[in-house]
Amino acid sequence: MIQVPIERKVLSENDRVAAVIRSRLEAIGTLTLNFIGSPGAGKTAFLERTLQMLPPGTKAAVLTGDIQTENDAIRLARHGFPVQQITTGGACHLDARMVDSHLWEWRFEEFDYLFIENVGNLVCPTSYDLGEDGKIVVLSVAEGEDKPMKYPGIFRKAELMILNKVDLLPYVPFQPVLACEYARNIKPEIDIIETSSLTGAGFGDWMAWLDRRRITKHNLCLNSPAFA
Amino acid sequence: MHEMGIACSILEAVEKERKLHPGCRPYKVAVRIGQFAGVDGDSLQFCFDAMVNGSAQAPLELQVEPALGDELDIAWLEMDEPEPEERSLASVVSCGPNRRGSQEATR
Ligand SMILES: Nc1nc2c(ncn2[C@@H]2O[C@H](COP(=O)(O)OP(=O)(O)OP(=O)(O)O)[C@@H](O)[C@H]2O)c(=O)[nH]1
Ligand SMILES: [Mg+2]
Repeated sequence: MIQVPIERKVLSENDRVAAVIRSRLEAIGTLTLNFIGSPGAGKTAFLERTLQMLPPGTKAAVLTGDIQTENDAIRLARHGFPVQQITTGGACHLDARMVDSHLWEWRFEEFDYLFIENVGNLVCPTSYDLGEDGKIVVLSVAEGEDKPMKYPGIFRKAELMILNKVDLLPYVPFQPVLACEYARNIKPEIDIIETSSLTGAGFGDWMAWLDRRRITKHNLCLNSPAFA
Repeated sequence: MHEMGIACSILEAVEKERKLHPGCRPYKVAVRIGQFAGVDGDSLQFCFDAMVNGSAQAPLELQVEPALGDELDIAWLEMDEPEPEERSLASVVSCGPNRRGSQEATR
């Protein structure tokens, strides 16, 4: 009997594809964000309003993942940006291969942003690197404050938590302060923005965050060997 | 659902390793799952067994080892070496301890 040490990531093949995607997007300076949240947390509505609010001339594209239907792509496409639906046919998450096979039909040198809406799920999408610059977790106030504690994985990996549907606060027993405290217990440096895609509350802060993030990425890219 | 995909990736890795060691038969693979990896060990075990049972890879056992952070790694693979006569048939260099990356089991 022999024991062979392997010491390799289980998802090493996914990570390899993600690294290729990342370096290609890096070379053209597209900021790529992976939105993760429970079914119905409001990811699509949030992205719809984001697309509406992008400054004129901004180039953005959206990939949206669902197990079935093209509904989200149809909603997102109304805002005049290129959108592709990835239907996973059962898988509860997007993986790098799915993204890779949908991306390159677009002329990417033109894009400032690539938004990826993951399949509604707080657990599985967390494990799969899609080649993004950052993960954003969308939590809605109807889900309960304790979700960061119950699903720590995504709150640990996300750089920003969108606390969404704050227009519902008068109607649901939810304490934003607690939700933020729980999220910061998991990841002290996580950014948090409270929003409502219905009323537009918080979108000023969000659009400013997005712009700052894009500029940081852009400056990083200018200093990277790919640009030299 | 997700654990099914993880089980699939582990089986692919085992298959890759088996090809690197002609004549050897994998029978146990160990994975380390961190507390934040978002993978449930029991559920993974269930999916893994369901996929292996009745397949060409059976019998193959999964050993889940707890780990820290979001680690999700394949740690090691145990394989039977071929019988001496099989070994000469397969390939002399197949899976001896001198092979790169291999070591004799300590147990
Ligand atoms: N009151 C209120 N409702 C919202 C808000 N955002 C989304 N919704 C509603 O919540 C429901 C789910 O929104 P979606 O945008 O489809 O949620 P999703 O996260 O994309 O859902 P999946 O893609 O299916 O996981 C819809 O009925 C939306 O109209 C919000 O800020 N406030
Ligand atoms: Mg959606």
